[in-house]
Amino acid sequence: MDLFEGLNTQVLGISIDHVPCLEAWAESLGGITYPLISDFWPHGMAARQYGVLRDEGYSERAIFIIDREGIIRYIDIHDIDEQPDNDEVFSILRQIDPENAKKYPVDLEALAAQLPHGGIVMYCNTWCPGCRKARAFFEANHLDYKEVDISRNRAAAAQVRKWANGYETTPTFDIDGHILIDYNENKLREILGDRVTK
Amino acid sequence: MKLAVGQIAPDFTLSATGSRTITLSQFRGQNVALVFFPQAWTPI
Repeated sequence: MDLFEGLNTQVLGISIDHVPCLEAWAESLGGITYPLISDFWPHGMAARQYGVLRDEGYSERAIFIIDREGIIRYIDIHDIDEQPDNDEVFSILRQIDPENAKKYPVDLEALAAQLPHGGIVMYCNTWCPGCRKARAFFEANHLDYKEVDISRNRAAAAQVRKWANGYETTPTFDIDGHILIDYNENKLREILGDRVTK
Repeated sequence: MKLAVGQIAPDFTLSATGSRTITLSQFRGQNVALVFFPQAWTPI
C-alpha cells in the first residue's frame, strides 16, 4: 500500500471480526501494513453508521474516502465477491488532494515498462490460494520465478486486466511470453516442458 | 441510514490489530481510505 502513503492517505480495514481473528488473518498474509479495525462490539456499529451492515450481520464490501477535514468524498459499495478497484480509489485521492498528487506523479506507462519479462513471472498477491500452490510447485521443481504483487503495483494490475478480460485474476503467469491465467498445474507443466522435474 | 458524499464521516472508536484503539477522527489532516470487508479470510 506504499502508494497510499505517498498520497497522504491512511488505509484502515474494518470488519465485524474480533481482534484475535483479524490478528491471525493478518499474520497468515505475512503481515498487513495498515490497521485492521474490529467492528465486533457493539456488533457492526460502525458498519451500521455507514449504512453498510447487512442483515446477515456482516458488512458490505465498501470503500469510503474521507478527506483531511473528515468529509466523505467518495463512496463505493461493490459486489461482495468483487475486488475493489484501487485505480479508481487512487484517481479520487488525486482529485481531492491535488497538492500531494503532484508530488507523486504516476506515469502508468513508465511503471509498466519496469515490469519484468523473461523467465517465469507470476502476477500475484499475498492471499490468493492459487499463488500459494504455484509457489510450492515452483519450489518443488527448483524453478526460479519472479513475483509481482498486483495489489501494490498499479501497472501490474492493469497489465493483468488486459490479459484476463478485465479481471485481476491471480495468479497470472508470463512465462517467456506465454500468458497463463489462473493456476493450472497441467498447463504449467505443458508450458515449462523439460524444466519440470517433479 | 445511508450516507452521502459531502457528509461528515461518522466518528467511532474501536479496537484494532496491534493492540491499538482507533478513533477515526485522529486521522484529521490526512485522507483516510476506510475499507469495509465482510469477514477475515476474504479479499480486502
